[in-house]
Amino acid sequence: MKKPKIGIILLTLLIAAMAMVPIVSAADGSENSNQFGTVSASQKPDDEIAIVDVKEAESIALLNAKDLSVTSPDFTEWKDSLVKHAKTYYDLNDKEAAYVFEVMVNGEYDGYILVSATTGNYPVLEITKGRVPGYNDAKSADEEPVEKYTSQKGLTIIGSKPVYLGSLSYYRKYSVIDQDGTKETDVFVDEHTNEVVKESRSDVTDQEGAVVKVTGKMQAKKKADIRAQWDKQRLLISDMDSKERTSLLKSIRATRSSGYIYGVPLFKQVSGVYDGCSPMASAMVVSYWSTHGYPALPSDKATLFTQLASAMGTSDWPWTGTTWPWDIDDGINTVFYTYTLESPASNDYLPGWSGFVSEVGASRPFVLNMHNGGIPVGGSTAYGDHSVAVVGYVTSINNFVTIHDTWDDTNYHLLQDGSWDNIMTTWVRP
Amino acid sequence: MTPQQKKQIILAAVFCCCLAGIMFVIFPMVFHPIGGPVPVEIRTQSYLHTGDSISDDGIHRIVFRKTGSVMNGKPPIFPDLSPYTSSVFHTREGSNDLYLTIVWYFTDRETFLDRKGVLNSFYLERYGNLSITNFTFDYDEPGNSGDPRHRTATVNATGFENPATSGYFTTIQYPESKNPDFFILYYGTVKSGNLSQQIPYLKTLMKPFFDPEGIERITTPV
Repeated sequence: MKKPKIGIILLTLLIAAMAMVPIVSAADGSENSNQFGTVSASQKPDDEIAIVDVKEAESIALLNAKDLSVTSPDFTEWKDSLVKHAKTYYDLNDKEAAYVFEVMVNGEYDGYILVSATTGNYPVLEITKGRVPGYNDAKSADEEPVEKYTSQKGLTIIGSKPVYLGSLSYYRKYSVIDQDGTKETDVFVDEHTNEVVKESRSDVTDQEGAVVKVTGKMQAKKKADIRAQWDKQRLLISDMDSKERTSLLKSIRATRSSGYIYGVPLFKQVSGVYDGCSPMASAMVVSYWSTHGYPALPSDKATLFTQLASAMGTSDWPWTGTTWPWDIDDGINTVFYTYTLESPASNDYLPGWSGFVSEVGASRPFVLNMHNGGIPVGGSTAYGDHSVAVVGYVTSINNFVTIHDTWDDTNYHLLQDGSWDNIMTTWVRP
Repeated sequence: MTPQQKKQIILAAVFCCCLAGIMFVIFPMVFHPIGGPVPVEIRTQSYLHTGDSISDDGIHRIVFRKTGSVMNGKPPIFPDLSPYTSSVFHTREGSNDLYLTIVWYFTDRETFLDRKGVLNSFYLERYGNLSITNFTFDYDEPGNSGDPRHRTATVNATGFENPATSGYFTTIQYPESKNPDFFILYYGTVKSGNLSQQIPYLKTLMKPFFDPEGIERITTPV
């Protein structure tokens, strides 16, 4: 042989790797099976994204309000609630993106449910007892800064629309024209901070990226999840005779299930002192094992956080308390090994719901690492890029993980399955 | 280096880039760092019960039930000292007493000291009776006596009494923190009688937030 054909070898490997993409991406799709039918990523994809009628969205909001009254003890009063359409949010192309429904209990406002206005996103986007930013359209508080801004720049406002870009990204988009009336552009006001934050549409798209994620190229698994959710929710609100409905409700009640691991402590980050959600979430999991068969392990927050943060290489780059995902299992293993000579942690880059249920069923809490995580049920702050400890699950119309979120050391929280862009789990299986 | 070797290096580099791209598509989380500062709105809720609070030492069981939602922004009583303010009401089971917790959060020392002065001079000294006190909280767990990790905390506070509300103010700073976090806290009752009768309940309400957990905190009266 004259010379090694390295080019051919590399090309072959590359083609083989590319061939794995659809296989691995779709690997979890087969899990979307329930009493409402099976939706698999391997099925012919239906990429068409349809606009959801506001009436249908209202039925979904009401359905979820009632369901949550059974699922979460914080929402029991929503059993007899009513919902009313309060506002429609649009995307950057002026198409409906989401509907806000206020939840009324005994005639009083008690929270809102945000329902997707397209089938390209999960049906229920947010459920909270807080106020949606800029909810009052009468003389919205965000008009003042934009008026100042436009008068300084010699612009005239010709119209405005509320814009939703996912995970608490609420804006009001003002269409403005210059003094000559020739150039039209958009000005965006953040409804949280009430400040003019973006001057062009491309800035918002680039910054948030959520629209790209929702309407663009999504992973097959996520698409299948979303489709399954719509199928399920639509069936539950569809016209059917009372016999069918009774049967369906019985089926839901029969399949409603939950799991909870007792004994996992609640640890909280303290800004500037305990920066790093990944070591803090891991500390709760390791502390649990210190009282469940591994007494040599430390159990207190300070010791565990310090050791885990060091072992994971948690640092302030690129931002406060950053941990790289591949270091999370290694960090846990380092600390575990120091005290027990065992290395039980492993990262899973393609976890699925059945894995969550199985771990909780085996009484093994784990670390859930999210990219662009949403808000927990009843909360008002999105998790973003965050690690939490999972201690349970609840299945109902929607699936929820029960988490210790490192921001609260007095309560657990429920987070809807799929309310994130990507996740990685760190299983700890001594 | 021969042209053939150069070609091989280029091919290998292209291959690595493609592989990294494919890895990113399959495992997007691999390249995404996790972390970030605790959001400001979460920091304001660090010192109040966002839900119910149950204290049970085996002898006394005290249950505080959250009434309404956690409110962000101007508190129901006392001045609007900070743009980052949270407050919440609780009732106590077995009584008609209503409790109010307020957290004012500041990101710089100057503003914190200025607003503390405003609170004292323009409100507390004018509208109520003040007293200085300190509480010691014991976080020792049963059977943990003698443990070097035995945790206690002393909280220095200002008692405030007027017909509308009675309770305790304290401030918190973290001297070892990398971030300039400052808090003014109020734990009080609303129209629920004199302060001395409420001390055990207010202490119960406050206790979970001062567990030292290895962190040095400085508490001072306002």
